[in-house]
Parts: sequence; structure tokens; C-alpha cells
Amino acid sequence: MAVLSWKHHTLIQSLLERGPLTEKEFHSIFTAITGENTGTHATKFNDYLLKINRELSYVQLDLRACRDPYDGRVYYGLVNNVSDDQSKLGTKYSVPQIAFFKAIVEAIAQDVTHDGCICNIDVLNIKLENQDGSLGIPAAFRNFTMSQKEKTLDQLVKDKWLCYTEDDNIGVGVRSILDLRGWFNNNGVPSCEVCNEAGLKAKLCPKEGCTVRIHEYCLKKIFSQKGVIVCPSCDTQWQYQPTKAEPIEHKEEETDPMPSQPSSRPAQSRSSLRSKRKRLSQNDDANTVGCSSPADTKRVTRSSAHPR
Amino acid sequence: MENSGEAKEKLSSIFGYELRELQRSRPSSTNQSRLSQQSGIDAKSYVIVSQLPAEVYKKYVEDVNTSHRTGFTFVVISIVQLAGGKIAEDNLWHHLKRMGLHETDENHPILGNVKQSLEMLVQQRYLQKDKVSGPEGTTLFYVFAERALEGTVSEKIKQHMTQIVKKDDTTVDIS
Repeated sequence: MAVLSWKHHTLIQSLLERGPLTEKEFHSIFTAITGENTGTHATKFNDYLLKINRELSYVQLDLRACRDPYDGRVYYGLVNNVSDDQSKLGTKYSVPQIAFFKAIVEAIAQDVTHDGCICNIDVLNIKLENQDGSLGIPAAFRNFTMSQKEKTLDQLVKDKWLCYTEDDNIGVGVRSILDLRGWFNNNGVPSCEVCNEAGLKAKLCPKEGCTVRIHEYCLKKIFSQKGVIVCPSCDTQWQYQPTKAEPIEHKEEETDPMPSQPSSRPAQSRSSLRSKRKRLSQNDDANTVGCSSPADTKRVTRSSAHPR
Repeated sequence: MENSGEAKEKLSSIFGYELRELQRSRPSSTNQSRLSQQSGIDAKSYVIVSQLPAEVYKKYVEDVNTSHRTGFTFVVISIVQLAGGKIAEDNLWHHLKRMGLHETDENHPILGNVKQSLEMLVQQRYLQKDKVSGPEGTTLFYVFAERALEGTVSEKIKQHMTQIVKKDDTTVDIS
């Protein structure tokens, strides 16, 4: 008896062919093929995902959700959990292209302002290094011309490994957020205290020496929930000015709870799975509150923004 | 590939993909055929095909950003089909030129490098190159390879071609 039906297969194949999809797109596929609304039938949607992930674990793949660090939108994607030699074959990018991508991501990760992006021009001027740090630069890297860099950049953005940010800079794309979580961890990018994802485009705690980071959109949620932002580690109150213009995306978002993450997660995650799931569901409750009451946040701003 | 049975089964049950084994039907030149017969080199290629119904695939799965390549593939295969499954390189480009696709064009707005797009079809085993010696020297021919000869593909092409030919009665061939 087949465990997965053509409906499950459609969801899987859509992610494989089209790359990461927004929550809205993914939900609409689900609704179209099952006739069930993800809002009213959230459990059915979750069941589908759990079932899919149970089967995918055989080949060590995972159907995961993540947030775009720049606008907070939720995306779904298929991720490979294992980094072995066979995985390295599964790419259409050439060696210099991959080195170029790696250099860009490293530059963004090391960016002192923690804005999570780097300037277009800097990207094109990035010098490629050998992966093992050896001195000689291989011919393929040397001949990687400016126009090849531009084409590669374009392709990387199309495939969602990178993205263009509002101010025309280069940022980390949704696929990188989905796939490279382990890499960000290992390369010293601290996670956001609220959602535990890589802390790109995050604000730092104003207290010197405190290493807490929180994403812009996570701040927004906490602020709309509690009206004040207090550092979870050092108890300093954060100054927070909500942006006046509400992005249109928030109005489009359905008030769906985030599906529960599957339990077949590799053991390398730093914090316990339970707390992660709790935080995620909290965020979504806050999301629904935040959308409907911009007036409240404005009211609280003046009184709570006391610098110490 | 002894383990292909389990791989096939898993690809189908987990993903809804069919792993199809294609046999290299015709060797590209006489030298190669002797070689493969002697050492038993496996001249097989594998493709993965979605098992979803066509309407479902088209609606939810297909990546519209790559449909230009599928279109190009269809056009080229149709040309080769009309030529009887085998066409000289010059002749092929002659027909492509009539559609605005030039061999030397590296910046086509949709395909980019046109010649490379054609090379991709050889790589993907839709076509293969045959060198034929003739009175004027060697001519390069493009011939159908296993992926274009495979049952479902060739069926669909013939179907589409019949439809086009039935509808279109205004073209004039300028030789």
C-alpha cells in the first residue's frame, strides 16, 4: 500500500522543480489539490507535511519552512541534510562559481553592521580564494571575468541562493537560509534569540558586551505583543521605533499557524526541539495580533523608549 | 546498475518519479560500436520522469522559468523529425535561422548562447552527432538519440506535428 499519494508527490515535486515557494504559493497548491483550506484545516496540512517528511527521511531530505530575513515572509523548501560526496555532485554550478558564492556569503556573514547584505560593487570585486586557503590561485579562478561574475550573480539570485535587497544590495537568499543553517552556525553567525535562525539583518542589544541579536521582524512581533523589548540575556530595554509604513505583505498573509516541525531533525541543533517549536508558534500568534493593531504600537512607543 | 531496482522503487514511492533506463540505440560512429561490443561498455542513460498526470504537472509543478528550453527542444526535434530523423548541420541551422535563431548568436534575449542551447540537446541525449564522409569531405549530421526515440516522446511529437500540419496551410517553403 502506497504511503504517499499523487497529492503528496505534487507538493514534493513542486518544491524540487520550482525551488523554495512562499507560504502563500505552497498553501494554494495544497488547497487546490486537496480542496482543504490551510486555515480551517491546519491539522490536515500538518499531517501531510509530517507524512512527507517521514518518507523523505529515508533519503535524508527534509521539507522545511524558514523566514526570509529581509521581509519576514515564510518560505517552504526541500533541504538536503547530509553533506557527503554525492551531495557535492548535485549542483549545476562550476567550481569558481561556488567559490564566488562562498566568498559572498562569508562577506555577508562577517559584515560588522549586521545588516545582512553587501554592496553590489563589492560583490563584483570579491577576490576568489582557494577553498583550502593555499596560496596559488587556480586558473579557473583567475579567468573568472567580471561579466561571468555578473552572470553568476544573476543566476544565484534567480535560484534564490542570494537576493536583491530593497536598497539594491546583495543579501542572503531563502535557499541559503534553508540549506546553510549549519554553515552559519559554524561560521560564527549568532542566531536570533527569538526564532533561532541565523541572525542576519538583525539588531544587536544596545548594551556593550551583550551578544544578543534579534531579527527586525522578530522585534516587530515582540513589540506588538508586549509593547516593549527587553533583552532576554541582560535585561536592558531596547529602543525600538516601529516603521510607519506597514508593508503590504502583512495584509496578504493568512492567519495560519506555523506547521509543527517534524521531529526527525538531526541532533546537531543547539537548543531543544520543544523550545524551538514553542517559539515558532508564539511568533505566529504575535503575527496575527501585530497585523490588526498598528494603533496600539504607536501609543506605547513614547513611554517605553527610555534609554538607560 | 544492480541496485537500480530499489532506487526505482524509492524514487517512485517517495517522490512520484519514474527512473527510465534508455539504451543507446545507435553508436555515433563505427569505431565506438566495436569498442562497446568488445568490452561490454554499458551504453545506457537514465532519465527521471514525473509520474503525475500531465495537467497536474503543468499547473503546479512545472517551472515556467525554464519553459523556453522545452520550447526550443520541441522546435529542434520537430525539424529533425520532418527531415526523417537525420539532418545535416547546415540544413538544421538554415531552418533555425528562419525562426531568428542564429548559430553565432551569443546574446539571444531568451536562449542566450544559441549554439550552446543546441549542444545541451546533444548532452541530454535527444540528439547525437554523426560524422559522415562524402564526396565533398565529412559532413556533420544531427541524428535522433535515445531520448527522442523513446516511445512516449516520439508519440507526442508525432501527435503535435499532425495537429500543426492540419491547421497550417499558409506556409510556403522557399528553398
